[in-house]
Amino acid sequence: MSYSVPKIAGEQDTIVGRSEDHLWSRWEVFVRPRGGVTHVYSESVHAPDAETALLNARDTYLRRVEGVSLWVIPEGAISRWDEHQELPRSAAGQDASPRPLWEAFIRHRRGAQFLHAGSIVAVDARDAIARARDAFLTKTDGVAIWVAPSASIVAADPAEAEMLFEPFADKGYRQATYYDIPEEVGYM
Amino acid sequence: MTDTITTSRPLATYLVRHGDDNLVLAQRLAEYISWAPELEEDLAVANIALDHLGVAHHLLTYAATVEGDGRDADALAFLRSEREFTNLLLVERPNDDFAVIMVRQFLFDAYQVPLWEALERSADPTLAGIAAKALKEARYHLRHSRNWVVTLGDGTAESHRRTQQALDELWRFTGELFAGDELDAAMTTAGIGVDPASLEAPWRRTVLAVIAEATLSEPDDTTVRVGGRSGFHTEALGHMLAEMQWLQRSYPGLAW
Amino acid sequence: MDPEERFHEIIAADEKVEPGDWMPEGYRQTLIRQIAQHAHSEVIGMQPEGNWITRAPTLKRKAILMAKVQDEAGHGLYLYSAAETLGVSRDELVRLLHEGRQKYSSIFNYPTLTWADIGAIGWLVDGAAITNQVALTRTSYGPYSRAMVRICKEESFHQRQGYEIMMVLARGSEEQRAMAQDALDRFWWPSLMMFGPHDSESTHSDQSMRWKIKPVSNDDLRQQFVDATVPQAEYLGLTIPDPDLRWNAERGHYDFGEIDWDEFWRVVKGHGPMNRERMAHKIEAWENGAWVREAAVAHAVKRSAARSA
Repeated sequence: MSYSVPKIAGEQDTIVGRSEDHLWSRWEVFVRPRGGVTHVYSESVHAPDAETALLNARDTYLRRVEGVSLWVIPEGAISRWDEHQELPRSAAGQDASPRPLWEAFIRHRRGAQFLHAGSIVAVDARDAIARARDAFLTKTDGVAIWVAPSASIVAADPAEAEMLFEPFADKGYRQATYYDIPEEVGYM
Repeated sequence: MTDTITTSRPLATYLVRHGDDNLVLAQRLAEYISWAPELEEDLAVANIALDHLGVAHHLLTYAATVEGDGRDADALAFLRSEREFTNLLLVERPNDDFAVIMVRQFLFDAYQVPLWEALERSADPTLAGIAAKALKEARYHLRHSRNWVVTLGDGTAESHRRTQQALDELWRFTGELFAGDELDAAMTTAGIGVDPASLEAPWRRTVLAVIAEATLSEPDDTTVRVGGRSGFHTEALGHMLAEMQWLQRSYPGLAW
Repeated sequence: MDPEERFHEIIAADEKVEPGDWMPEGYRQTLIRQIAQHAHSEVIGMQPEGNWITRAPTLKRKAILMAKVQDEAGHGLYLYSAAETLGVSRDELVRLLHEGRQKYSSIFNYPTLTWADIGAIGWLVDGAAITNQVALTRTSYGPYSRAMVRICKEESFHQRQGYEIMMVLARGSEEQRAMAQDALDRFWWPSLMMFGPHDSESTHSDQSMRWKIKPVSNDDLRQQFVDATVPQAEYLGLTIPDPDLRWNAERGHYDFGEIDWDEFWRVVKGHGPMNRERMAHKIEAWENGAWVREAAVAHAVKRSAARSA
């Protein structure tokens, strides 16, 4: 199979342990596609800081005409819940401490991508997960939730949308339809 | 007055100058692909190179039309000699290290933003259209290159040293950005072009602010090396063109 | 439910395994190995084509090739990102590649000698890669499958631009036609080798297919590729360098000759024409970049210290 290199006779597999260390930290990227109503998770980039993370995300995930808004969130700012964990209880009404704003992202079924569901006010991450469940979900089967403090989100300034998102518009050679391939040679 | 100029050679020459700046810089950046310090930066450099290449293609295509000699953009790019290339010397300087690449880019981006802002208002609608598109790209390039110059200038002792060295090395090529000639004057009078001298003040504002933020020093080198616009280049350009034009020159007149 | 039972239930139902799920350590190791090799291949794959960006014959071809090589960097990045969901860092995977403990596809150990090689790589190498990657969109690991969907979408132009180059050369001068035939002669067999050993020889295949990491077998994919490619060569008027190649009406497929497995293993073992050069380039670029990566971290620390001061 292409890209999977066979083992040489007698060769031992390289066993890969767990490693979390990166010189440049990891940032999760969310893009709102042209014509889309919400931000969609688009994998990650590595970057030393927020500004570089935003530029790297733009250069990596917006290489074609596809985005109108871009967010990056440091990996560590996200709290994650899925079906294997107990659902935390909402901390509603337990104290009067100030409640920050959180953004909730939901994967509605296995195989699907995380989508931004909306904002909620919550005491902490566990509370935010519980509230996101209550606010945005009717079932939990196969579902996963991410929450991140709204303040942790690095967003592209809408005033800069032109320079961030438009330069890809006239690069038609990135699309298959740019090339005239005769039908008789089959689908390509 | 614009009517007589748009159908004449001076406009073509003017378009070729700016086309050459973008083509030569795109080629330098293209050399660097697969050599960047991280994958993300390889992607960024390629985006910037593609932007410059696209602008070069538009300008040279329009120049060829204005010229009306039956040459096309590829003939201008691949079949002119070193003495006929009219790019600024700054953009042909070699990729000595990442500091040189980013400082070169930054010094040029800080020039291109006010350049395209002025040319966006050109009396020539085709040039104005190309400038409007290029301006959006140049603003992004500047954001990217200034981020790196600040990061490297105010990073480690080694990155500071390399970045200062790059600035010192490239400084003598920046005077040329603002040295106008008769063609610039004629184009400015016709409302088509811009007086390069008028770009110096905004350029200095940007450059000095970033130098300060990056904890770098403004070089005290007062040497001004000019010659690009009249085809008097550094020795670096000939090698670049030898490589870039090799295939077209080896197999003349073929389609690719 | 017991997590192990749940895992097998997910696989049996053709659903996707997601990062938070329990998975057998063998499943995790197999995925890391395969995704990392795929990522390394994309990144090393920038070199043979990057070799021609500065010499591309027209402005249009230069832009197309640069965009394609850039896509390869992007695809490597998506795949490292997917691998990271398995609890291994990109920096670690890069280190394993540089130490020779992880591999990349052998196809990139062949040199690009003429402009026609850029056409042949797009047509044949990307053609073979796409055959494989379309099948892999159905792989059982969610992040890998999603990376494949994104990559397949973006790569749809890669093969077409390569074939377009071949069409222009095949219609061109005597020299250009010869260049195109020579490129096909050199890249045909290495492209077939991309699908790996026969199913009967492939040590990794059985378990991978049970776990649905790998949905279609090596030989089936290779046959699919040959069947699609032969008419394309005929259209170009070029000759596939295989005297045993012929249509088999009974099977409804092309029969083709045997791969030179000695060459196959020689390249896998590191003795291909360009193995040394590819790794030397990759390691040199990484080492040259060390001061930049470190400076960026040092600056980020200063920035955040200044902010909290």
